[in-house]
Amino acid sequence: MEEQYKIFVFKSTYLTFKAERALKGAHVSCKVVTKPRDISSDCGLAIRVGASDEQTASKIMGDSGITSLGVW
Amino acid sequence: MIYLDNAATSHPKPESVYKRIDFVLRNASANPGRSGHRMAIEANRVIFESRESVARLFNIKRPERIIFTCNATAALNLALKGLLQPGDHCVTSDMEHNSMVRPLKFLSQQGVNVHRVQASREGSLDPDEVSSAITCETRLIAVTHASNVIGTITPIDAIIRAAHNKEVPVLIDAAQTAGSVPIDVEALDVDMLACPGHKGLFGPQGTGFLYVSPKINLNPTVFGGTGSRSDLDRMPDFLPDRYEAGTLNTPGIAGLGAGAEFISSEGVDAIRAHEKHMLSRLIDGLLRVLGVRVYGTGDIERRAAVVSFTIEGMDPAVIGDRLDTDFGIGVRVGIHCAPDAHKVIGSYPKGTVRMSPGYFTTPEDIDRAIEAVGVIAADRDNRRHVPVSAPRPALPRGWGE
Ligand SMILES: Cc1ncc(COP(=O)(O)O)c(C=O)c1O
Repeated sequence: MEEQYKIFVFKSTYLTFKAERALKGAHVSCKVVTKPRDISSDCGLAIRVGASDEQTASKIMGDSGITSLGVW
Repeated sequence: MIYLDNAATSHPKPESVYKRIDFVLRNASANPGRSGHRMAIEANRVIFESRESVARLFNIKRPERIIFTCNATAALNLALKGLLQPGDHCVTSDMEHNSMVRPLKFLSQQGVNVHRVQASREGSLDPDEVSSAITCETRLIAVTHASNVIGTITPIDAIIRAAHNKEVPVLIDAAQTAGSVPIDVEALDVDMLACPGHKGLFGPQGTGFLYVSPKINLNPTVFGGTGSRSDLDRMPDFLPDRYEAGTLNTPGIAGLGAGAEFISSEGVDAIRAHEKHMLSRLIDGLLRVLGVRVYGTGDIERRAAVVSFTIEGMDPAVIGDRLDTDFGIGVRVGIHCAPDAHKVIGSYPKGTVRMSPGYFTTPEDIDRAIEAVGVIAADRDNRRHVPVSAPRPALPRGWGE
C-alpha cells in the first residue's frame, strides 16, 4: 500500500505545517506524519499526500513559496 | 480587586485565552517537535498556529522569524548577546528597563561600548540625538518603545529612519506597547522586536518572543535539542529552530496565540482608544487631588497606559500598601526595575506609585482609584498617618484601632 502515497520532506517543522496549511487551503487531502526512517535519520515530520496528488501538491507549495527538500 | 497593574502582567485575560490553555494542556501537551505521534503533531501545530497569529497581529511577513521565549527579558538577552561583539558600539537610552540595562552592562564589561542618550524630563528621546550618537562602530540601537515608568512613547519611526540612513539596525523593546499600540513591523521596517506575552498580548506568564528580520544574523545564546537535524552537534541554521533549543512552553504559547487572535479581532486601535480613555480619566482625576504629582507627558497620544505619581511627603510604598489593604486596589510601587528613568524624572530613589489600566479596566475602576488616592492624601494632611516607629498618641475614647 505504501506506494500509493508520496512523502514531502521539509527543512523545518515550521515549513511542514505551512505546507499543510497551503494544501488544506487548496482542498488537497494530506496528513502530517513522522518522517519514515529510510528518508532521514532525524525525528522530524513530513507531509503525506496521495500519489495522484503529487503534482498538484508541488504546484500549490511552489505557489506559496514553500520549497521541499524532496519527495519520496 | 481593582487591578491596575497591567504594565507588570495583564489581568484578567480574555475568556478565549483561558479556554485555549485548558484545552491544549488537556489534549495537546505532548512534546512539540520531538516525537511523531498524533498528540506531538498536534502540539507542534499549536505552536505553528500561534506563531502565525502573532505574525498577523504585527504584520510580520516571515512568521518563522518569530522566536518564542519565556518573557521579554529572554528576548532582549538573545537580541543583545546574539548580536553584539567586543569592540561594537551600541546606542541606548536612559529610560530603559533593567532587562535592557543589565545585559548591556554585562556586555560593556566584555568590551562592547554602550552609549546612553539622555531623555527629556518627560522621558522622550530626540531622534536627532540618537542619530548623532551613531559612530562607524555602531552595531545596534536598542531602545524601549515606551517607558514602563511614565509611559512616554518613543518616536520609533523617526529613530528607525535615522538609524537606517546610517545602516544601523534597531532593536525595539515593545514590553509596554505590544498589543495596545499599533506596531506594523513591515511598514516600520523593524529589525528586532522584543515582546512579553503576558502583558498587552494577554498570554500567560512564561511567554514572549523576539522577531528577527532577515537582515539580522544572531548567534544562538542557548544551545540544545530542537528535534531537527539531530545528527548535528551544532544548532541548525534555519529559523525558528536555530534559537529555540529545549522544549517550548506549549500551553503558554497556545494562550499567547489566543491572546493575539483576540487583539486582532477587537482591533489594536479599539484597545488603544479604550486605554487612552482610561488614561485621561485617571490623570485628570489624580491631578485634582491636593499634593499629588503626576509624572511624564500630558499628551495622551504620546503615552502608553502607564501613570506614575507621588503624594507629597508620602512614601510610595505606604500608598501602595494602603491602596491594597484598605481599598483592594492593586498597583506597583518603587522604581519598577528602571532606576535611571527615575533619575531622569526626579523620583529616585523612592520611586513612584504606578497605575496601569488595561483593556478590561472600567471607568468605575478608575473613579474608585482616584477616590482612594484622595482619601489617602487627605489622611496625610490630617496627620492620621503616623509611622509605625513613632510614638503613637493615645486615641480618644471610643476610637478602636
Ligand atoms: C519596558 C520593559 N521592558 C522589559 C520588561 C521585561 O519583561 P518580562 O518581565 O516579560 O521579562 C518589562 C516588564 O517588566 C518592561 O516594562
